[in-house]
Parts: sequence; C-alpha cells; structure tokens
Amino acid sequence: MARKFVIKPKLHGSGFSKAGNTGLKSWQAINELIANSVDSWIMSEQHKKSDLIVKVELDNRTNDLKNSSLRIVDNSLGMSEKDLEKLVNHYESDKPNHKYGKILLGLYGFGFKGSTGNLGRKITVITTDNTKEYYKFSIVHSELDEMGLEPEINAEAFDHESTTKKLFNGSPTGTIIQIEDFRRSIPPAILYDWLPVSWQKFMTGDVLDLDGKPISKRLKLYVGSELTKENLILPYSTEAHKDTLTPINLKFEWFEGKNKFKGVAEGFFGFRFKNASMVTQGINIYRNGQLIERYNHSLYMGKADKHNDHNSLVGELNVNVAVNTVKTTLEDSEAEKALKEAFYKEFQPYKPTVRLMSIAVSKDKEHIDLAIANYRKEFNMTLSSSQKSILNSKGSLIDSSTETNKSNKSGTKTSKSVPKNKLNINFKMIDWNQFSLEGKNYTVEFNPFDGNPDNVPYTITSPTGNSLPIYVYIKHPNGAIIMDAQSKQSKNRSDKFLLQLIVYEAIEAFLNRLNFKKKDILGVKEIVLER
Amino acid sequence: MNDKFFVKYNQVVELFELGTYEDEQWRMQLATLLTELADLWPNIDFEDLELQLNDYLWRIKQIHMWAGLDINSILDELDAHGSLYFMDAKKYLNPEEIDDILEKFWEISGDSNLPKSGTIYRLAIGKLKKLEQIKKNKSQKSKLELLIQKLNKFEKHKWDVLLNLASDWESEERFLRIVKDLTKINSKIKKSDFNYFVDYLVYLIEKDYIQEIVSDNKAELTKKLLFDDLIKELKEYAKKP
Repeated sequence: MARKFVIKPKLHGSGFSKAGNTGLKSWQAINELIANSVDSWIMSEQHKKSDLIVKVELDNRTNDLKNSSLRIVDNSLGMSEKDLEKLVNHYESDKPNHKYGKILLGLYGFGFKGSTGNLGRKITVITTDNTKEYYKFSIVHSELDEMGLEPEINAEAFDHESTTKKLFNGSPTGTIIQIEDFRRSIPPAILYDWLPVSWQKFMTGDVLDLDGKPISKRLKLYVGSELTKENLILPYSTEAHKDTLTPINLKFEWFEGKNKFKGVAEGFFGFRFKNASMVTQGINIYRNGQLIERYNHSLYMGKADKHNDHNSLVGELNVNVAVNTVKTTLEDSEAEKALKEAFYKEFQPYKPTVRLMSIAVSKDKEHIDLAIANYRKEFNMTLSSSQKSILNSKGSLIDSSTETNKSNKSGTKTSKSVPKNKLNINFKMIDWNQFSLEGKNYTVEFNPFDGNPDNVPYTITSPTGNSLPIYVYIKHPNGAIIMDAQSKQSKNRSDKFLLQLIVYEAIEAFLNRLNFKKKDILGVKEIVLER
Repeated sequence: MNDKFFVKYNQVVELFELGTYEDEQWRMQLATLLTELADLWPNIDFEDLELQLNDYLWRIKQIHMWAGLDINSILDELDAHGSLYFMDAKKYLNPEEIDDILEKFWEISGDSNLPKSGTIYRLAIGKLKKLEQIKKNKSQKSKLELLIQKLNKFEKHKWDVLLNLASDWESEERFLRIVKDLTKINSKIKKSDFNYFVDYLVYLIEKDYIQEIVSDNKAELTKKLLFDDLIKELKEYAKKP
C-alpha cells in the first residue's frame, strides 16, 4: 500500500509552467538535470567512492509530442521526503552554503523547474535517499495553473522492495525525472551531439575536488534504455595535436560598483590537423566542469579577423566567473568583459601563427610537422630531437598564402612594395630623420603648420613619394617644443629622444601600411631608438 | 560597412571617371584616397561588397587592386595613364603592346588641353577583347563553387523543410539565417557564407541530424528527398579530385 502525502509549493501554481519560459535550448535543459545528478553525487561524497551513472532515455515523436517522453535516471544520493518541498520551491537550495558549494554546478535552486518546464508539460519524479521507501509525484502544468495561489502536489511513498531497489541504475538510491507532453521536438541527434562535449570533463576525471586534486571517480553517461557498452557516450576530444597544447592561465579583475572582484580562467588551446571545420573551431567554456558555451570564437577573434583563418584552433577554458541563472552563457557583465580582454591580450602573440596552422591542415604531414616545430620554437617550448632536425633542415614557415593574396590584391606592382621575405627587413637609419628601406631612401619631414585643427601637437599624414610628412602645429604649446627640439637635439638628449619617438611613430605607420610583420617593426624600433 | 569607406570609395570612383591624369592635384588626391581606402577596406567578399556599395563588381575589383599598391606605384600609374582599367589590362599585354598603346595615348593626349584617361581604354579595347578570352578560360569553378551552384538550384520548398528541421536541431543562428534566406525566391548563398554553410551541412551529416531515411512514410517524402540530395552532393564534394 502506498502512503499518500501532499507537497505544498510556496509559489503560484502557474510558476511551474512559467519557469519553463527561460529560453533554454533542449541540450541546456537536459544538462541542467544532469548537473543536479552530479551535484547530488558530490554533496553525498559518493564522488569519492563510486562512479555516477546517468541514463538518458528519449522517445521523441515528432508528430505526437503529447506522447513523447524523456527519462533521466541517476544512481546518486536521491531525495528525502523533506527534500521534495525544496525541489518544487523557487530559489530554495542548500547548495550555496554546502561544504562542497564552491565546486557544485547548481547555483540558485532553479534548474529543476526551469529545465523540466522548458522541455515538457508533465513531470514525474521518482526518488529516494533510503532503502525503506521511495517517493513519487507528478506535476501537470495545466492542473497547477488552475490551482492558483495555493497549489498542492499529490505524492506517494512506496515500500522499497528487492525489485525496486535496483530502480536507480542498479542502485537503491537515486532519482528518476520523467518529462512528457513535450513543448517541442527533441531530436535524438541533439543528445549525441551535445552530451559528449558537455560532460567530457566529468567523464575523463578532468574536474578538481575541493582539495585541488582531480575527482577520481567518473561520470558514465548512457543514452538508451539499457546500460550497455553500445549506449555509453564517449567523451569529446578537441583533437588538438599534443605538441601544440598551450596552457592558458588568466587572472583578471573587474569592478561592480565600488567592489573589486577577481576571476580565474584556466585551460588550453591548441591546433588540430585532422579536420578544419569552421563550425567546430573555437574554445569550449566550462564552469566547474559543466559546459557553458561551445566553440566560442569571440574570445580570440577581432572584428577584422577571418573566421576561416582560425579553423584549426581549438581549446578549453574553465572559468569561475558568474554565469546566468541557468548557466547557458557567460553573463553579459563586467566579469565577462574582463575575461574577454584578458584572453584577447594573452592571445595576441599567437595570432599570426593561427593562420599558418590553419593553412598547414590542408598540407602533407611534412608541412604539419614543420609548422608544429616552428610553433614550439617561436613560443619557447622544448623541442624534440626530430623537431630540431626539421628546423635545421627546413627553417621557418612563411605565410605563402598571404604573399599570394597580396600579389592578387596589388596586381603586378606588389613586388615593389612588399619584400618577398618579410621576416628579414632591410632597414637602416641614415640620419636622424632619414632611413633606407629595401634600398630606397625616405625622409621623415617635419613641416611647421600655422594652425591647430585637431588640438594635438602634430599629425602624421599619408606618405608621398619618398617623404613621410608630419605637420607640426606650432600654435600648440608642444608643437613649438617639437620644432624647437630640432635645433637643440645635438646638445640635448631629451630633445633627441623626443624626435626619435616621433620619427619612429611615422616609420611604424609607414611599415604597417606596407604590411610588415609586427616582429620586424619591433626590430626597426630598436634601430630607430638606439641611435 | 564603414561610412568612411563608402564615402571615400565613391570619391575614388568620381575621380577615376574624371580621369584628368595630367592634373597633379587630381593625381595626389586620388593617390591619397586610394591609400586611405586600403586601410578601410572591409573584410568581406567582393560579391557582398557589390550589394553594399551598389556598384559594379568589376569596378570594385579594379579599385581594390589600385588600393593595394604602395603610394609610389599609384602615383607612377596615375602619371602614366590614370586609367582604372589599364593597369590590370597590362598584365595580359606584352611590353611592346603596352608601349605601343601608351605612345599612341600620349600622342593623342598631347593635342588636348585637358587630356582624359578614358582614351587609353579605347586604344586598348582591341587587345582587351583578347584579355576577356583569357579571363574566360581562366575562370574554372572550384569544387566548392560547383557545390554551391548545385545547392542554389535546390527547390525552395526543400529549404523550407530544412529550416523547420534545423530549428528543432537548435542549429546555430548563422546557419538558420542562411537557410531562411534560401527559402526566398531568387535568393542565393552569399559568397561569404560558402565555406561556413558547407561546413555546417557536413557537420549535420556527421552528427546524424541529416541521415538516410529508409522508411516509405509519405509524410516524410520531402525530407527524404532533401536528405538524399544533400548527402549525394556532399559526398560528391568530399571526393578527392
């Protein structure tokens, strides 16, 4: 005989269906339910003793959503009769203050309502944390909507018998969430596409426990009605070549009002050579091991960058910044801006290489090995003996496609303006304001100008012939200083240095216009300023 | 697109049309504008730029070519003939032909008070017919372009089906936008979307969103035909040349 009891949620009956209007995608809603299983596994400290087994059964009927169903079963701690009250209330969760709060995935006590309500209109929960009885209740949104201010959910407690003691993936404790009457179709391909990326960190033991050591037990995720090898989901791999793995360790700060916050992001990026899909390039972002965003490229791509040039770039980042209520994306916040700025800055030195790596994907193994060896050398990573010998025999890679593009872009005369080997710039200072570039002489001209159009001391304009003109606005106080410095530079080192800086600025703009590489331009800076 | 770019591009077009190549001010102004244009040139394909600028594709390509030169080369070219087209046309002419045309051009221009660059185009037109032939021979389509050409020919109702399915699959916004555009009459895949669109279709096949349908369910007939066509075309595309 079942014992009946009533759960009284402290919210309006329509709160359940409304909670589903979160705009979640199906994969996100399903992940929220799996995240609850993971949290239960950690909070009960079962993560130290046994694997977490989660089974996802989907019966999607595109033309009969009413009779479609999704069932998620775990062998975790399960819930007590008392816990059921919290489950159905909004924003009531023990997680933030729990011993393991820092590493838990749930934040706000909203995941269950938000995600089940998003997927379907009828929800059934079967759960227990003990071996004596188990509990079952169903929520039908339309019925609760009608109950208004004082909704009641009828629940039952059943005796736990030998057969039911294996209900939860072979375990006596755990939870089954069943969702029926779908709001939309959930194609099975979504599960196979998203689950391996979403949970790969828990599947491979790449998540840290409170003590900073990896969690030794794993999440085993099955899709299907049986716990068979065929139904086991295998973890996603970025397929980044091991020799290109580059660690990312970012610390960043931001302000919210007057309060200063600190964030940390750790992970890696690398280059893959097995495929180069524009769809799957990018960084997968996780929070405490749960996927937040997949294939993100906004972290490293500037507005002018070509998506196509980054197809070999992949990586993972685990962040500790705030995410929105249902962890579907990084919050559009100061924290997110600070993370993006930090990543973009960190990534700058690698940008020229990204294109070379994406070109290498389409080449043979020899070219790929050379690209990898070059990469390791450029970023001071240790080189294997074979990489050393590759470099000794073949040298550097040049972005030949850039050369080709330039050639196409500029027509027949490009060879005049862009040196063939841009890594070796033929630059020499002849006088304080004269230099030779690729055998041609140029002069940086300081032209006094009796006006002050932009309220700046000087303006560098487009080069004409062999001149790099600078207009010095003599009515600006600092403009007068610049003109004055020209006559005093032989006696005064500060004046000389001031002019050197301005001359370099003009040369830098000129070299940028000619598409010289940053590295070469920095070399020129040394020459100009060392005089 | 940057407003500055739009304005400067149109200034360049006007100056080239004016074509007063012996006027130093004209040359300086045009050269400066072209170098500025190079810095502002947006990172999008010519075909998309064609729509945004509402200008001829050939002119956009020619101006892009000019803007890619260094300022000295621009000034040299402007000084010699100032013709938008002639610089490109030279690639397909031998040195004797170029000298011959330039000499005639200067000869004619010498008699004029205000010589115009346009004359050189007329002088070169005979040779350019040959050039057109060369260009036609050269323009063999890539495998990707051939695939896109085939996809562009798909019946519109098939894209309607894919759009509904892709929404269920929670596909990326960019992909949904492209498919939505394709459902419209006379719409084609934009060049800037070629790679992405094909990559996404390959992805959908790899992940079994698009798969062979074996059932004879009539309700799924359009879907079956669409999937069969997509799989067939992408298999063809994936074959090595």
